[in-house]
Amino acid sequence: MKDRELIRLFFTEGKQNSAFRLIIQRYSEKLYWGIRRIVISHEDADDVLQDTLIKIYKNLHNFQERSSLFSWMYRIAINEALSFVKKYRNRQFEDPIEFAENLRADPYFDGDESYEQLLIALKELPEKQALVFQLKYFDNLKYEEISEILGVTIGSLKASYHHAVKKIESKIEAD
Amino acid sequence: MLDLNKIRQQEPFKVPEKYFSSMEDRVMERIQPRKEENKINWIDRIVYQLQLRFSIPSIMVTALALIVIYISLDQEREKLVFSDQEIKNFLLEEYDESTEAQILALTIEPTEELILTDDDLIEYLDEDNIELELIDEYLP
Repeated sequence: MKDRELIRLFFTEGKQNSAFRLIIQRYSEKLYWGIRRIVISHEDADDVLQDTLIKIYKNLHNFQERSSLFSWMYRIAINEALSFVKKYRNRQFEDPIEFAENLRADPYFDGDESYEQLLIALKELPEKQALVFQLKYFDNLKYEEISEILGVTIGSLKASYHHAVKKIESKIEAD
Repeated sequence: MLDLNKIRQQEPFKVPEKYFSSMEDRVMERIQPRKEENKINWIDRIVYQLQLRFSIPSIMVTALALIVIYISLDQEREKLVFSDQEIKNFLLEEYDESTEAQILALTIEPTEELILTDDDLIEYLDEDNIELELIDEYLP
């Protein structure tokens, strides 16, 4: 079933919940990984994902099909994750040493040292560059899709990604 | 030397077992009971259907046209308000003796259905099952 049919089903009397279950099945995992790379811990990502899905359920009537359903949902997920980090950002999230220690203590993380370094370097980037890097590098999205999600021109995205890669490389080499 | 391509091949973040398969139920539990869904979201459905069928500019143009029509009708209504003097003049102009004769010729004659006998009344009261105690309360 295409996304457009899924949305129509959502607005069909008596079919709302079953249609939304299909939306969750189709997109919750993709949304989760986007959120997880921003908030890092699984518990936080779980909270943010559930809040995101509830927000999507309540606001689906505002979706005007100017972008794909995924881009619209992903934008909500990213905004929720960034709001969460701003609200609950604390010293352990800011301090690279504590951040690395928390990563190692996390039962749902088993990355090696190079991955830890990458995440720490990513935390030090400006928000926009970090987001563009995440969407391009980790989620492997096309610039056109990132442009839909972030509402930024493709030229600006390419520049941001280029700067992000250079900063990450120089940061890790310096360490 | 950092190799970004090599790092990307890892997926270091994990989730608990069956995490994604249980997501549906956990979210739906938080949303709302199934029986409430149609009552709560009918406005959303109307908004969605409007957006689906009409563009935002066309909805705005229609709304504007309705407002203009309403205002012009309101102005027309104001023109139809007459003063007492205007009504008096109208009646004096329109009045003639033949009109009066027509009015006086009208008589109201009761139809047969309106004449109720005692039997009809008793039957009516029986049909409505009025309790005797209740009648007693209202009788002097």
